[in-house]
Amino acid sequence: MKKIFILMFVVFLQIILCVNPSDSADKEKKSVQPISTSKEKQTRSVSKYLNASFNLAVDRVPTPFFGHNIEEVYKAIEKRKKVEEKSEFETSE
Amino acid sequence: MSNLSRALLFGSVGMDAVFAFVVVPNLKYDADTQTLSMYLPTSIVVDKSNVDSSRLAIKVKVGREWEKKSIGQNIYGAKVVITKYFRETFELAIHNMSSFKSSIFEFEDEYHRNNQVFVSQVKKKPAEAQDAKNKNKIAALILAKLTPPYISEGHIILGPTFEFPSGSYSKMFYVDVDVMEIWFYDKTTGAIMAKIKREDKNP
Repeated sequence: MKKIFILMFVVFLQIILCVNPSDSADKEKKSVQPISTSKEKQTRSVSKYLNASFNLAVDRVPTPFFGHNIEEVYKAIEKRKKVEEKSEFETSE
Repeated sequence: MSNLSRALLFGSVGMDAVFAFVVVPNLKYDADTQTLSMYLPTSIVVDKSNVDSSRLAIKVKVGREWEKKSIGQNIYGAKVVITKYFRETFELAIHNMSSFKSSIFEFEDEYHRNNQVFVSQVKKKPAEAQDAKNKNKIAALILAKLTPPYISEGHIILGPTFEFPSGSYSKMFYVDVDVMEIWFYDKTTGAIMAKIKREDKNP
């Protein structure tokens, strides 16, 4: 009876070991995904364009200087306007 | 629009920020007077499809451009390949042109009539002016604040004919602004060469 129990335990362990590698691979995949997403976010957020108000008091323009991205400004205002104009019974997203 | 004025658009940029847009100016040198004229051409503002003469536009960025080809046919059944060109531009629609009366001139050439341009002049030696022009060293910086309606858009459609089977569809996205100052500067050093300031008192 004891031998049978040990044999069953060994078989159970083998099954777990067989299943685990794929599980851990899935976990690796899952854990990798957020890292790549954050990298994408980083590259998106590192913009060459100005991300703050321009200081009129400067006596020299930084080099290189790209100023504000007019397309980004337009789209940001457009988005704000849509949120502002939405009905009180609509959700924002 | 009450929330619009409080909300941040991106980064730390709010609706009341000082915006800076970089534009490439046109340059013209007069060797006799050793004067380099730097000017920013403007164009009409089209509100949907109607000309709005209360504002003037300065093109800042060209967005998407693409073309489509199709087969057209006239009433006699003759067929021709039609090419339609599509172009999107992002432009500033300037509301306070009257604040810059002495810096705006009417410019006329074979392609443009009654074109209004912002002009500033600096003294430059011929070699320096030639170097600045050939190497595109000079940029203009339009410093502005947003003004209602903040954004608007317009379009110009030039339809194809059988004789000229190409048409164009231009869509303009405007950011509505009051210009505070225009700077001309050396892109390589950042040195400011000239400033155009508004003549009326800032509101």
